[in-house]
Amino acid sequence: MKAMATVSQESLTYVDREGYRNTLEEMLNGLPADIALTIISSKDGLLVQAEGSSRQDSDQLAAISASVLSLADAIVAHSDGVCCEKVFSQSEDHDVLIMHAGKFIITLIGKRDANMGLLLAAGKRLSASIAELTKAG
Amino acid sequence: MNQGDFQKVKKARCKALLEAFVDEHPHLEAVLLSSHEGLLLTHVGNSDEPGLMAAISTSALALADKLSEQTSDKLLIESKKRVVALLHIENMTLTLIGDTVSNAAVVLTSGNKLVKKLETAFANPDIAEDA
Repeated sequence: MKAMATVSQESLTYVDREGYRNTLEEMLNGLPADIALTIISSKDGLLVQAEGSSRQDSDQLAAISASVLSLADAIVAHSDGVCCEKVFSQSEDHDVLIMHAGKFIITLIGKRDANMGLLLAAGKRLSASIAELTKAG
Repeated sequence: MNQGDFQKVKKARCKALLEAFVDEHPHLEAVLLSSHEGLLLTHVGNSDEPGLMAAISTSALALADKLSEQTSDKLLIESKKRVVALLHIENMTLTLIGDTVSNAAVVLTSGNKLVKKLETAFANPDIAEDA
């Protein structure tokens, strides 16, 4: 079997997560209205920040997102030895986008009939901003 | 459909159908079909460990369903090098692995076509046998 994903799996301490929380909250406030829920979690699935009121189970969603991304990494690492850039799930009611963002994972859940391109663009921007933030930190 | 039922629809014939499809769509590197328990039913193309891939794919799709609170139509995984599409077919998982030059739209279009073909074959076993 080839080398698994090269992404850093270092987990954040409680202090790290709290330190980033305010800045992340500001970032989430500027997202398009098409997004029902945005979740930022650590790579081990712990919720760091959530914005949006459509679902109350953000903790659970953060954990599931981390699992999905980890499995997706395993799938692509199996053939390429790299980690995945994004995981996009489409269903009747929601589009869901999960991405790596520096030391974090972001999950964006679109509203019903949300524009898919908008969701992808917002995810890409947010991921880049968070990656930059954590790099600086 | 469980593994036993799948045997009834003639595994070899189904594999032939997948092989014919992959021949027609050279941008697909591998196609795997797995049961809802994650067991590999059949696969064609280049995949190092298809059994493991089938298990991971099924888990990923099941979790994606949980995330969207319903059965997801498709799960698309993109890396810098390739695209992998996971789709539901009956209660099985279809995994399509694109080659390094294919994009998401190409892999998804092929996936949708293959789902229709397989659904027709499963609905009418005679077609599967003739494929």
